[in-house]
Amino acid sequence: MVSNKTDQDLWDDDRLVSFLKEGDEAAFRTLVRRYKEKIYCIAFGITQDREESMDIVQEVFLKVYRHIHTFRKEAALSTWLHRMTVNQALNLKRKWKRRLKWHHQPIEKDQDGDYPELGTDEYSPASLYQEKELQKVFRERLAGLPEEARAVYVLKEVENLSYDEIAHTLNLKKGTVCSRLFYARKRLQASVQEYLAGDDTI
Amino acid sequence: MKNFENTCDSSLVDRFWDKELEPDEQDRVREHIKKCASCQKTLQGRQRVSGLFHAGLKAALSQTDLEGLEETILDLAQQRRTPWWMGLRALLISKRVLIPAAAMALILMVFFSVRKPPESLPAPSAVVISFAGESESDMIMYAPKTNMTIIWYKESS
Repeated sequence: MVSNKTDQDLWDDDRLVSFLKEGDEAAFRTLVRRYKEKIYCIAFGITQDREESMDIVQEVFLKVYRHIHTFRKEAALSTWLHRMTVNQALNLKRKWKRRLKWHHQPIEKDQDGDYPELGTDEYSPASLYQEKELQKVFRERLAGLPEEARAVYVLKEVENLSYDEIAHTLNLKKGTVCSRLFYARKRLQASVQEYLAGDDTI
Repeated sequence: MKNFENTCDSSLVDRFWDKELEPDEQDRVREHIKKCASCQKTLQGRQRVSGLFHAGLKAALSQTDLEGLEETILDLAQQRRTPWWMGLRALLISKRVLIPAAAMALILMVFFSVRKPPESLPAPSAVVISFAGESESDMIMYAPKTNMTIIWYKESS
C-alpha cells in the first residue's frame, strides 16, 4: 500500500508508526529520511568508523521494517531507535580490531581529506597540524572509553538527551548515567589536556 | 547540595552544564563559576572536548553519502517485501533451517550406520505337516545357530 498523503514529513511519530504498521512505503521512506542522520551520528560516535556506521544504520532500519509490528508505543519511536542503534553498535565489539585500525595510521598517511584548507587567515600550518593531531588523539581516547560510558556520552552529545531519557534508553539508573557521563568527560578531557594546556581558549 | 561555595565539584559543573540541577542550584553554581577559575577551566575543558566530538562528527558526515544510503535501505526493504510462499522458501533454504536440518540428517545417518541391525530370525520356508508316499532316502539336519531344520529327501521313482 502506498499512501497518497503528500505531507508525510509533517507526520508525528505516532502517526508514522501507524502507517508503518500498515506497510506504508511512504511512511518508511519518511522514517529513513527523518532519522538516518541521527542514527548515523550515534553509530559513528560509538564505533568511530564510517563504514561500520553505515552498516549499522542500514541494519537498524531493516530491523524496524521487519519488527515494527512488535513496537508497542511504550517508549517513543526515537527511544526505540536509539536503543537499537546503541545495541547494534555495541554488538559489533567483536570487530574491535577493525574499528581501531586507524590507531596505527600515521597522520601523514591520512587519506580522508578532511584537513581544513591551508593558507587561510584562520589557520596556520602549525595550528592545523596541532588541531589534526588533537582530533586524532581525541578519537583514540573516545574509542578507548569503556563501551558503557561511551554510549552514554554519545547519546548526550548527539541527541542532547536528559539524564532521565538516557537512563530510559539504556535501561540504567539516573545516577549511573550521571557517573558514567562524568567519567567519560573527565577521561576525555584528561587525555587531551596536554594539547588543551597550550590552548588559549581554556 | 553540599557547600559548593568552598569546595569545587566537577560533577556539579557537569550537571550545571547539562541543566540537570534545580533552578536554585543552577543559579548558585553559576555564581560560583563566575568567581572560580578552577571551575571555569573545567567548564571550558568540557566545552572544548564537546567541540572536538562534534568536529569529528561533522567531518565524518561530510564524507558520508547519506542520500545514497537512504536509497540502499529503501531498495533492500523493497526486496524484502516478498509473497509469503517466497518467504517460506527463503526460510527453508536459509542457513537457520538448512544447517540444523543437514546436521540432523547427518546424525541420523551416522546413528543408523553404526547401529547393529537386529539379528533376523529366519522364517520357515515351508511347514511340513505330513508326508505321504515313499522315499528312497531322507536326511534331517538341525542348525542350532540359525534355529533351522532342514529336511532333505528323495522320492521313490
